[in-house]
Amino acid sequence: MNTAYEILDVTTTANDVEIKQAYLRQVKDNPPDRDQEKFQLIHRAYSAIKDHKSRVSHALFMLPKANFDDLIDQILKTEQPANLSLEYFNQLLSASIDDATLLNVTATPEK
Amino acid sequence: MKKKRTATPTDSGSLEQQAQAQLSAGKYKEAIGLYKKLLQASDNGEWHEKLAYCYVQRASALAAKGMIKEALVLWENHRQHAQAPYAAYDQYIIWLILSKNKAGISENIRQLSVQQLDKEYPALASVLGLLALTEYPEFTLDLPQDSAFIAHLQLVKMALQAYQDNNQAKLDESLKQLPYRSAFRDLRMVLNASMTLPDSIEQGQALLAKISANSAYSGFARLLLVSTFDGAELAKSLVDLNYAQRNIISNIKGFNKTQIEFLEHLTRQHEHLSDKVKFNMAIQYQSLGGTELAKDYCQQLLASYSAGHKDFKKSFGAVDEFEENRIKALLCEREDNSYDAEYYWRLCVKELIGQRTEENGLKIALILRHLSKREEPAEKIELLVESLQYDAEDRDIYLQILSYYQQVEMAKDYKLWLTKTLEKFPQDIDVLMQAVREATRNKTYKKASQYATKILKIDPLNTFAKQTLFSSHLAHARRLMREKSYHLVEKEIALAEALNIGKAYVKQTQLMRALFCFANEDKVQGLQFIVDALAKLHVDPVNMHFHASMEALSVGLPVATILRALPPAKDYLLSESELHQFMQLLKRFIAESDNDEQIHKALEKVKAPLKKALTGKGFAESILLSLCKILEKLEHFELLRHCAKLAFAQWKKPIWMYYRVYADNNGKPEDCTFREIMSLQHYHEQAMQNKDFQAGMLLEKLLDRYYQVHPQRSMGFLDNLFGMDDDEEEEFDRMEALFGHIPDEVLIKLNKTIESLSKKTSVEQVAIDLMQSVGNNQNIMMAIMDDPELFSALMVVKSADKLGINIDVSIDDVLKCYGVGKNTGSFPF
Repeated sequence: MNTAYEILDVTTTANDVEIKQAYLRQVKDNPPDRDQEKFQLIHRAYSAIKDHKSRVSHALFMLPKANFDDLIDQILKTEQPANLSLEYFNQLLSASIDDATLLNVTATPEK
Repeated sequence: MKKKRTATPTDSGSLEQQAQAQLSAGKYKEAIGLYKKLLQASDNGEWHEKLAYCYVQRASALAAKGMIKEALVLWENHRQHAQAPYAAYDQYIIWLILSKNKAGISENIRQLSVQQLDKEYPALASVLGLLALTEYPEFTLDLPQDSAFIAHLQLVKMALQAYQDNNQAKLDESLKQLPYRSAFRDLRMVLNASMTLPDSIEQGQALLAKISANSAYSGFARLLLVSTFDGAELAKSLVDLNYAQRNIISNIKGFNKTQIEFLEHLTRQHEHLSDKVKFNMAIQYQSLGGTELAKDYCQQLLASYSAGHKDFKKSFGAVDEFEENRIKALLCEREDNSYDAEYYWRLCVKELIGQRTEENGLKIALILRHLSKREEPAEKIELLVESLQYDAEDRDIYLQILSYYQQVEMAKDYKLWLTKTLEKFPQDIDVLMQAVREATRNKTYKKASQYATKILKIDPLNTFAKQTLFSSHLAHARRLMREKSYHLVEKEIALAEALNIGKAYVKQTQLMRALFCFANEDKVQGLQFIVDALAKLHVDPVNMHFHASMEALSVGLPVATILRALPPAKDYLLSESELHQFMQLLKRFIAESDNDEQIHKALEKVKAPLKKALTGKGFAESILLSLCKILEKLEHFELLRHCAKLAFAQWKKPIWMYYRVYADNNGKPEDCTFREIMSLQHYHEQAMQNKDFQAGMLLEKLLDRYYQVHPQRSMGFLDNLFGMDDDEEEEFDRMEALFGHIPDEVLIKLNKTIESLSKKTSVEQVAIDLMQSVGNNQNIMMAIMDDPELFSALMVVKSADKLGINIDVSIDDVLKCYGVGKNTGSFPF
């Protein structure tokens, strides 16, 4: 489930004004007459973090999720974009050949 | 060399049938055996064909199970019984490729015709294409050089060169020349995806997803797709790949040595990722993830992995006590363990008090308010009050406190907190409105007006404030008229009119002007004005009479004179809406008037038609209930009695029993008869059973008030025996000594009978019966009167006798036990 900050698409350091602007933006994109449920979600998120006291309360009573995935995301972060050179392309092509794939090619394709 | 085929011998018919049956059932192994046997006896062309068919089917089945060598042998056996073109020849070559039999591959692909390669065996062609580009480029030499396959291979090589040169145009040009039915069709899609990826991962991924699972390039497409993932998604996919594949993708992603080490570690452990493993990995790879993130992560894990404390301290220093307790508290709450949650929250508060900052103060207040949500009202308010020590600016908390004190009618505390709240939020409309209501309740109209004026300064359209001011002006005008300060009355009425709050209010000021005219100007004209104004306000004479009476009494005018001028009300039967209007009027006067006596006097004028209407009209229960609530507040027992009696006769509900007994005793439950008390107890039980807690509470209030004055609870006859009176002091329990041996189910029966007996006869009558049964012994009678428990004990014996149950206790036993004079009467009653 997304956090209130993620729902409003703001950073955890955003101030009252930024959060309000983000809220209004989200409401404009998701008006209540279009998707009541989504609007409620946005509204609840805004209520949860709209001012300093709300944010302190939100942080205080939200059980932090010990998220191993977040840790892996950070650990596997790289500066440069992926480099799919012809060399790697060919290596990957060779590494992709296995018995199962070759046996499978004569099987009837699944509909 | 093929065997010569001859005619089938007639004696092998049943064997052939068996063989055919096995073949039809897909039991190729058995069919092969039978056909081989048949062929030993006689050479038959059809049997050869069927045997060949069985060999191919069996070979395919074994290959599908990964038994390639066996598949190859069986397929070669098939060749012994068939002629070219052979069935599943393409599969046979693929099995040769899988068995890495290079010589066999070369020998067989050399025999492939252009037609077979380009048209008949597309799957084999795609595999050969993949191998030509990777492991076995030399195979191309064995293939027909004039085939489309060879031409397409050249185009693909050009495309790959263009890919290396990052020449999109040349790449497109080469790929465009590949027809749809090319053996390299799927490679073209993969190449297109690879070129798209740097600009749009989503589009590239969509192209890769189009590669069929049966394609020779499906594995390649999957690997390329994985290489487009990042972070945890990538890691989860990589752990399912082999080392070489992981290594290539790691290179594509540009991972450093430690990141590759992490991936290998994760791959080894991914099926056993316990909290301990994750905790240790977070510490081990903190140089990659960042110390802060690793610390936060480990801190959160400590709640479920407490063994990590030592390592945590070693790696990150002391544990943040507050954070640890906070997480524990939240985890307890998640498991609905509010008891332990509170304990940890209290530890959090303690920790925060030790490091007092403004932010921590706010946190303490928020925790206390959080804890208050689970508490009963009184404890909740205590916590809310405490929270204000740390965050005194929360208006809602003040309002909650006020609301609580108002609900529980703790007037002193309410007043105190209203003063505090007003000091804190002097411009807050909600607070000012509370102040207006409180001032109105206390009949301090001047104060109410001041607050209302303040509200109107902030919110000039505030209707509530306008209504308050309006009432205040009229109340003032009435007082002035009563004091005969007529010169000031006009001004007050004008001020009320100036508020301009609606037609209904205009009618009220018209009535005030009419009263003023009657009092100060012209009696005849004034009386006519009064009649006209009342006619505008009400359609029925009952409301007119009541309103006129109230107004006349409050301004000190002769009631009778005014009422005489109005249409008679005596025989008028109010409609439901008129009764509703009457109740509204009554409520308004109760709220505004500082003299209930006046209301009682005014009600005297209309009580006859009111009673008639209540008796004759059959109003809804809800209306009667509303009326009773008003009358109860006003303490008008005569009308309340009338209303409750009617309602109880009709509905027989606990709430009506409450109003009936309350009214019958003029609001003094201490005057209740024993029978009434028994009824109250019965209906109280019924209310609780029906979950009608409101009625239950009201009935309990009456019972409590009764027992405050009459502390003996002996009428709860067998409560002691049921262990109900825990508060009783421990002393010799005579009831227990006499009746302790009786089983509970018998006691329940006895209890019911006693209740029934008590309801049917008064306590006095029961006492007389008892006295007669013990021989008119005055000492015994005195003892019964002195000790109600003796009465209870005697009642137990009486009910046992009535029910015909032998309880082994006689009236003598009871009297003896209570130390009362000798019984002279016969057993028992």
